Amino acid sequence: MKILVVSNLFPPCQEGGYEVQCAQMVRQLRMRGHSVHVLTAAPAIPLVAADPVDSDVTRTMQSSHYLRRRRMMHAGQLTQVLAEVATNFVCPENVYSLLREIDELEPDVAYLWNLVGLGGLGLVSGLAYRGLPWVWHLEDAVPRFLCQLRGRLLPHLVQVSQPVMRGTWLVCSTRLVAEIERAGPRLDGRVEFIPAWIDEPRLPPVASPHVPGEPLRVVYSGVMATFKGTEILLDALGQLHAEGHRVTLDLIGPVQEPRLQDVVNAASLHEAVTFHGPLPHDAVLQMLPRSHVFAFPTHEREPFGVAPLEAAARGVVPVLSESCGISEWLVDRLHCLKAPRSPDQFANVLRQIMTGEIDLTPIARRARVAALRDFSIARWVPKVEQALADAAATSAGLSGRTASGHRAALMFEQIVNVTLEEMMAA
Amino acid sequence: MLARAVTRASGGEWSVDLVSIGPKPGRCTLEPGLVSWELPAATQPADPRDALSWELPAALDNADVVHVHEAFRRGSGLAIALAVQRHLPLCISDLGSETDGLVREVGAADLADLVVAFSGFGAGLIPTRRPVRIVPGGVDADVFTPAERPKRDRVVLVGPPEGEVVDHLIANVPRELGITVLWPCGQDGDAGLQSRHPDREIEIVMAPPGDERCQHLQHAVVAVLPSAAGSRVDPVGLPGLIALSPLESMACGTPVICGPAWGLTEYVQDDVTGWVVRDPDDLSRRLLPLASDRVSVERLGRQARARVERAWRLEVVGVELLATYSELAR
Repeated sequence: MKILVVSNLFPPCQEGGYEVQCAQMVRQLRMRGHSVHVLTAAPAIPLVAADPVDSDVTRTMQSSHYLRRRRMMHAGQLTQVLAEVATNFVCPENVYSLLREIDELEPDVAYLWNLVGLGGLGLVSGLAYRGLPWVWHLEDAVPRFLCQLRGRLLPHLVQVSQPVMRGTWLVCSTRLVAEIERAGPRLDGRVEFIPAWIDEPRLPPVASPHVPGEPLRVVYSGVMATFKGTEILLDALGQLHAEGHRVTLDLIGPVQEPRLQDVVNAASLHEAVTFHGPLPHDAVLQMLPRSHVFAFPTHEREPFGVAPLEAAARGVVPVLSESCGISEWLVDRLHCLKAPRSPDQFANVLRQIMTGEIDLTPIARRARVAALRDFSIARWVPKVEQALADAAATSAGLSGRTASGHRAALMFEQIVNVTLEEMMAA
Repeated sequence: MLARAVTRASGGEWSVDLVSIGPKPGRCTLEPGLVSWELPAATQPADPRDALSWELPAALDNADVVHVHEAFRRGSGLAIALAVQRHLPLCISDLGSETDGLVREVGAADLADLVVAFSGFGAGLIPTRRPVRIVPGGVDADVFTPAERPKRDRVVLVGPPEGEVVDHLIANVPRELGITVLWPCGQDGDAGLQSRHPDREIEIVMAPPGDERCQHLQHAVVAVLPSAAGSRVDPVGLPGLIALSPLESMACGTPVICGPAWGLTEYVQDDVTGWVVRDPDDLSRRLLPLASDRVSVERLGRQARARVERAWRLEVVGVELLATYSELAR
């Protein structure tokens, strides 16, 4: 198959796990003999890591100012609105890039990932116009985001864009489908559930089991923020320390809310808690097996969460919010431990581990097996491949012309932008 | 009117939805197969004709062909983009009204499968490399008919009651003739016309319906388009692009005086169906003998009506437009 992948970011340009998963799947599909070309944005800021030469990655798209959030915070309202139009609705230059790639590659199918920042609605409309079938891999509520302006969903825009929202959807959790459809956009066509995966070319090392009585080592990796539940974790830790339990917490990742350090100090947890800052992915993987559990008190709308899986693959037991994306895929007390999302409940689970009421060893073993077997990328590539092949088989051939599609996008953008400018001026 | 011509020419096989965007949303059937559909405006731009509507996509849902008139307005631009996105056969027309240029700038006309112009002059105003078909304007020659006994007691001015040419014209209309100003799109007052010409009795008729326009035109010596002789441009369109007023006058057997600009000479032939004047002085010279030269007026009026019967009946336009749509839909 000739597959055209479209993603706002592609490593080494990366912000989170979405684009990493994209790159992993691209590599797997190429290994299986498919011709996979990636169309993505030019780096928003210069890359620190060298950009590997890859003739099958075209970095020509614009990513508006979506990826420069600080820049946007200082922008005027109008600039912000227009940037959001280019981020979500349409960016004619990106429609042009996409249609040109279609002309040059004549792909069988488009494989879409995160389109926020690229004017995603315009891109999907462009694909519909050219008659190129697509498979859209959702690890976040992208269709919902694309119908928003200033944080508000535009129901009319949902209605207007619905006709082009028909294709094959690969979604990582049922809550994600529910979240998107509750907001408005319907995922028309075929919906398949595929979890986020781990890509472990070599068998990872195993963490040593926790022995009751010894200090419990807890790790978390990801963004440090309220929505991720960092404070819940710190509060739980505070309770356990107050009870005399010995627990340490390693926090790996960027601190989005600096006040979290104050929380640590106020609870006198500075000796138990270590902020490691953002580390390279390899370094994170090396650190994980030094802990016994991976705490993940994330918010309910968390679409998935790969880090707990990576921990599980190393025999580090995930302790999860009972209601979040990855919780749909793992069984409580079998592969993981689940707790209602509160400091008390998380403290309770950790306490039970330390007192020996919960034996981590069998859970750690089963978690590792499940992670490496059921959540290995190799397990899911055939399903993705099949979805792409099925979508490609529906193609009635390419239609339309690049010039016309580009012109229509230009016209749409020009009319919408000027109308918004006038409305804001009024 | 064009839509009505199409539905009638199709003998009921085609229906036409006349879609617009405005303040009074609603849908009504004008006659079998012909629906007027005003979509609610979602925006309030300075020029209400640039309003957009969220319901535009739904309005295109069942279309076999999309014909976008006033193609360079914003709502039209969106309609064009939507039609292209859906691969709907698309033709566009432009009536020449002034726009903010947004849609024109990005070459909207190049998205059409076909450009339909109502005159050669109008065709030249549309920047496009797409095929252009000229479908001359038409008039309902069964409604606009000559009077059995035309009074020929007035000069009818078609257009807004203002501008130097209008004043010049009124000053030069022979005293024996009355003056009627027909402003098909007018909504406000007489712009001080009567006070500037206190010695003349001027009848100003704003937005008259078709039968009233017909009555005025039937009994006129001549219908004058002052805008085409140097005054300001008619805000709803350059007169030559569809030439509705001259056609109505000619259908009523009344000659037309106009300028040579804006393609009007494609409709008004000098000294055959009216007079083509070069400037306001020329206009005055043409007006002066009209009160007495009834023979010329009647001759040109008959020739004008005959020309309408031959080439510009609405039925003819309907057949041509229907053929155009049918080709596009194939």
